[in-house]
Amino acid sequence: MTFDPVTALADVRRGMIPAYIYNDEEVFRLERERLFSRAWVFVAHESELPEPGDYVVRRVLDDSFIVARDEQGTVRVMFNMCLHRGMQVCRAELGNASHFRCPYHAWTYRNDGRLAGLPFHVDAYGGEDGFAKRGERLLPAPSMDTYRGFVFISLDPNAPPLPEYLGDFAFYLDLYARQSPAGLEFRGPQRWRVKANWKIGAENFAGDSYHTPHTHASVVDIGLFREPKANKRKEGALYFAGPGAGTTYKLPPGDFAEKLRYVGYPGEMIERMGALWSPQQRMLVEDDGFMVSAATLFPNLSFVHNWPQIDEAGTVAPFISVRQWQPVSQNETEVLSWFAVDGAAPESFKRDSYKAYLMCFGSSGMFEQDDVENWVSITEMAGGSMAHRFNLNSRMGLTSAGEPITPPMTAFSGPGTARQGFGEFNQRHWLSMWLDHLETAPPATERLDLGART
Amino acid sequence: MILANEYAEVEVDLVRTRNGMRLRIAAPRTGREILLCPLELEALTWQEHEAFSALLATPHGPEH
Repeated sequence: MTFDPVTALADVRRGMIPAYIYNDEEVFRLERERLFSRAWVFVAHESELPEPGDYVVRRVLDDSFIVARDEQGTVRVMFNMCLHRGMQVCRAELGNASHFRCPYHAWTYRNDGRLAGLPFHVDAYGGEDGFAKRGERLLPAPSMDTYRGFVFISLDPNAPPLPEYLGDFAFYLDLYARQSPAGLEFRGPQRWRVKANWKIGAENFAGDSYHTPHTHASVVDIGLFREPKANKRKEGALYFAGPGAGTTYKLPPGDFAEKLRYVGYPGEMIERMGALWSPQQRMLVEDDGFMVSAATLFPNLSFVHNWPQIDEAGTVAPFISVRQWQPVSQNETEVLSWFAVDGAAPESFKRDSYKAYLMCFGSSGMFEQDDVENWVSITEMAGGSMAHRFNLNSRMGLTSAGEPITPPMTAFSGPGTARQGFGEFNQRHWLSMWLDHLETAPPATERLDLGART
Repeated sequence: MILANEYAEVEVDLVRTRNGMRLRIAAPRTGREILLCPLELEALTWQEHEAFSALLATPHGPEH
């Protein structure tokens, strides 16, 4: 049976999800054509490129991009294809270089993308007349912008401005990314592949607080983490705002500083957060008592903030991980997992926080291993013929008439819509954005001639 | 000392002469090397990276 977009999309709109969308070639083709051709996609954080000449190579699906800081200090994102024969210009995953020299014919580009030289320009091309190298450069990403050091690109030259796209989710992004004026410092990424569809991780981080008590039960059993127990998770709020959605935990009573101390932040960091955060951001923690945990920014960037016990003495250390679900195919995903920490944090905090991250997430983390086992299995099941015969029920939180069983919270200081308890509002929010893309024709693009005088 | 990135590898050494010193930069892959005196090295400090782009206009080195 082939993908029937009209029926499938109508099903998803009412919270019934054709099971095969998690492993289907045609769906993946549409995602490539209509979603990743247009959406703002994270490629790197500026802290991965602290010095001029630093670069990393990142992908948006099959398209490779060089993210580099040029000699003037400007961060640029360039399509990683030599203008001459199409060879990949940067093949190392990261490095430092003032110039990039193509391995095929040695065409050489400055790290701002401008073509600096090619062998035998006069002998082979007759100089500028045959190939006008002046003004030629590696193709810049069609759209590029940064927010709090997060570098995003869109393959759509007419993408909406990034701040407009981020909208109300910026409020929550800042709770992870703006603990001091220094901003986040990224380490990693660890990178590995899982035989799972990319949407599953994105949806999970957007709002699946319901899986935590069961999937991650062992994490509680061994005393690594106090929070995931079902009754505790149920007290958390789920919110969606703009293109993002996330989960929170309810904190024990106390003022702003006491609540952040419970999470494991030292006094000097709490002071900086208190000074930098908006009144609403402080109120979300102090008055409403919620602390952000997992979140997803559509389409495939997720965040997690947890505070496990990192030793037998019961030391609690919070960590932040940023992760990307990079699709490889309909049934394989490359996971990029970064450890992120406030650049101004004390060294001892950074060390403890890194340990906390490694215990929970990353290729050796317990949460990670618990999750992926499920996601691989879902993908396998979704690839069979039976998966075409029924729709998964993703209507948690709705009555049969489609009404929410709980009203939105009023005591929640963040923007968007928040509800306490379990629900699949966030996953449906994510899927509705996914649908919007799949229902819309791909963006218009144009073809360029290189180095030709026309 | 060896300096390398994905495009090039060079060996950098201090060479002591009877009465002074030079910095030797050698590229094992091309077999070329240059011995730079302190004045030449100082002159490098007032170059812009554009100057090196000009040198790399012929990416294999001299074409004659």
